[in-house]
Amino acid sequence: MEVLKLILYALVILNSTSIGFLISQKYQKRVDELKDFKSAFTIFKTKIRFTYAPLKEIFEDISKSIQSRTKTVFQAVCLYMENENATESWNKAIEEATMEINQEDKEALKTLGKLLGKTDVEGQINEIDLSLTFLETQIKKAEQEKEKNAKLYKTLGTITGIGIVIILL
Amino acid sequence: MDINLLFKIAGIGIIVAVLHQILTKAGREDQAMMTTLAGVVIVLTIVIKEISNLFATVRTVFNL
Repeated sequence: MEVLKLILYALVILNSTSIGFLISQKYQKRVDELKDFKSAFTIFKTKIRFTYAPLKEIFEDISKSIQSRTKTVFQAVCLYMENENATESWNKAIEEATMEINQEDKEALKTLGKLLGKTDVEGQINEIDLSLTFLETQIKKAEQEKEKNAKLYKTLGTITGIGIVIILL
Repeated sequence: MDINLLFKIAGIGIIVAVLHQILTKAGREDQAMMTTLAGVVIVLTIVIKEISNLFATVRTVFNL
């Protein structure tokens, strides 16, 4: 009986530690996803400047060249572009994305969609640059939040677990 | 009353103190306050039986 109790206490501590760890990982994931978007936008810019390929093909290429969950957004854009125009499908794909990025990040990403496929190459590149600067501020914000919260949640999880065990003891 | 109760309360005290430190360092003073309050309430619920015991003993000792 005593041994079982000890095992259960250990399980409680382990569980709350992993919960804390999961929460702290969310902040890291948000930073990673925003950085993925940044690199994707850079690829986008280069492709527009040098290949003159249609937007749909460029998005397909981007979704192939990045690995993380961010590529689902670009795949979704390709899919929606079958029936809708570029702006609508970009906004829809960003809005439906199931990622750690928050609403503010989504608004920043949507600035890309406003003139997508409506101007000449120079205009497109300027627009990508603009959304890259927005993205840069969001990355900075996300990193600050990560600094502030990630460590906190890690320790908070462990300590809450120990507290629960002491109360139950 | 066994000595384990004292150790338990001491443990809760240490945990609450650490939590308070961590939360104030992260700039969440209001939540630090709340955890301290929660700690006080938990300890009170643990000792309330002992306190009522003490009152009952006092009553019987002085025949009140």
